[in-house]
Amino acid sequence: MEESGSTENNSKALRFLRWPWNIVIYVLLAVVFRIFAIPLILALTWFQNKQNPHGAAEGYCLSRTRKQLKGVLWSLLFLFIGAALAAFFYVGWKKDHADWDRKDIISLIVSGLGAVVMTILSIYQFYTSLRDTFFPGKSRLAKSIREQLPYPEEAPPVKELFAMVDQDLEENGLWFDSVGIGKEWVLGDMANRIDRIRGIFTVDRIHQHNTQTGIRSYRTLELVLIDNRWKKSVTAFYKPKELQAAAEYLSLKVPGAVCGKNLQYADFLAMDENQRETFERKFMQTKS
Amino acid sequence: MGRALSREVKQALQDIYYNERTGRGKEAFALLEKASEAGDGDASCILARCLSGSSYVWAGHGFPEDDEKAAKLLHKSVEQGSALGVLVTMRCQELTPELEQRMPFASLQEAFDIAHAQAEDGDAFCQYVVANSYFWWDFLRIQNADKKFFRSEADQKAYMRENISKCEDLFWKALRGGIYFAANNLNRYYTKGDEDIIAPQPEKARDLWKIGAEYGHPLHQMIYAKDLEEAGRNKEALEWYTRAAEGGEPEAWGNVGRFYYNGIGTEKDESYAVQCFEKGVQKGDINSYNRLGGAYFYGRGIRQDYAKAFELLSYTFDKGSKWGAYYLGRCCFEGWGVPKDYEKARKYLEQVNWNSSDTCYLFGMMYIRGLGVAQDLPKGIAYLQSAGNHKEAREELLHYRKTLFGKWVRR
Repeated sequence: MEESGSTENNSKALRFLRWPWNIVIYVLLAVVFRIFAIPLILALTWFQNKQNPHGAAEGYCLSRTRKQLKGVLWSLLFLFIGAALAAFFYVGWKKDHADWDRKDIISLIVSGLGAVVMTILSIYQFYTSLRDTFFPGKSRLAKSIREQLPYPEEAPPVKELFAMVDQDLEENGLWFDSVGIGKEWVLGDMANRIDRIRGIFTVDRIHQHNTQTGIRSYRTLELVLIDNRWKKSVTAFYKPKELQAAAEYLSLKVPGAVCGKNLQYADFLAMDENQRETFERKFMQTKS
Repeated sequence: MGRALSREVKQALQDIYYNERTGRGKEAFALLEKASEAGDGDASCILARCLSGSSYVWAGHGFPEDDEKAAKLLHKSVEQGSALGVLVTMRCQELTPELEQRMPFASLQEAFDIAHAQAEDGDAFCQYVVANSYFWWDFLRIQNADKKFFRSEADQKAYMRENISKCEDLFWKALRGGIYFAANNLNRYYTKGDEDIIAPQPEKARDLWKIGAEYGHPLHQMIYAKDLEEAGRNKEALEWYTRAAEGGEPEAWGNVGRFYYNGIGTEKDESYAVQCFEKGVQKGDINSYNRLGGAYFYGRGIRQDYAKAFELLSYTFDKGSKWGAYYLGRCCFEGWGVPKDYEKARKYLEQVNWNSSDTCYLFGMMYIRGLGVAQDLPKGIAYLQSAGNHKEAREELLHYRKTLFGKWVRR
């Protein structure tokens, strides 16, 4: 019985590409097919998610840190913008400045500063992406788990840290978009211990801004959790219904926590020391 | 065929009706049995009433109910020459023409006259029986009055009104004398009237239960307490429930307990409430069984004991009370106090005949997981949705999501 179960697991394991082969294949596809690789990569990603939801086979946490590798693409984008701005600055610098008006000078300064900022941003993004991907022990996620422990300085190695969260999610986890909620842990972009949560806020805002081609709008969907040290962790969502469901599920698990919408979390964070103490006392009373 | 009631019957009437709280009901019953055997028709008649259930005798006495035996005793009382027996038997539709032939009276009128004389002598039970003959129109048969008897319809109506209205004074006398049942008929007489012959006079019925309660009848004390509770006068209601309970009214302890259990009209005292329920249980009150079962289930006022809760509630369930159906279902569902049995749980829960979110939740879980029923996710989810704000149901619902095609799937 057990044997057939393990055979089934093995056969399932073969049906998706394990790290780092998935990345190798994506890169190869991109090299060979260039822009036409996009639908192929998307289809492959969908298949991967279907066969190995939330990276269950490799461990949820590890899979999450490895996903940070896509930040390299962002860093390349920032680098490209930085390079473009630097080129603009260089060409401007080489020109004759005799008949320059104030607008030209401002453009030169902005392009120069922009080039520096974008390059720094690109380096930082590149660094954090590679750090989170290849050194999970130093990742933001591992740090957030450590901080949630009673004695962070005595935290176990990253393997055990991740195993702790993974096991909880494997046994009790419910997934809302990419956020997993277990009995003790919430795994979003960062990890939160459920018993430490004091504030649950949903952000659902539509931003609009004018462009040369008209008005552009985009929607922000975020779950903001605030813990008993008044630290906030933010996780982005794709589907509004999933965001609401996650918030409701958490509010049922932590009935004493404050729930709110959009920028209400700013008021919660703005509480002074006395207010926080009063709130904490009330929370503990509700809990007992 | 004596006109006066025997000493034994008078004593039994005192202990069974006029001073029912003396606690000598059982002795009086034995006395009547002996007298009936000795040929006392009135004793047979009253004994028959004692066996006819709580509509005819105070439940606090705990007399057995046996309709067949009661009918036989009524027949016997008629044959033994009890005028009261004749009237009571007629009232119970048991006075057949054959039995009428066998009675040692020349006519029904003769029997009625004797009973009437006994009523005039001041006996409350006799007053009640005679009043009933007027109230329920038995006087028509007694006086052999059919339609030919009257010259006109108006004449008939006047005759009816004159006779029926005689019951009012007699019922009052009976009530004051200790026959608290008289209040029931008086209440009906005042609130409903009698066809188009007697007009209703509801204002006169208003204080009936209060009067009965003040006379000290435990049943009336309880009915009066219920009226007070409905009017929101909880403190007074508790006072009267307590008096009724102390007077031996079986249902009253359950109500006293309920007040203390929920802190109505008094400070909450769950431990005392449980003691009250236990007293009610000793008296066989179903409501007290239920409440005590509920207390054991939640562990309020007493140490939590699901097995005991199940035992008490299944007893009342078998007696037809659905009050504890949810608790029984939950015990079977969770395996609390009894082995897990989803089939049984479903049967109990199906008997919950009120809108219960707890029940909806359990049904939801049963359909979702296929426990005791065929697995049916959409049906289970529909049950969970109908559980409204039930915390566990809401939490469970969040375990599922609808796909683009409208199909429910587990997250």
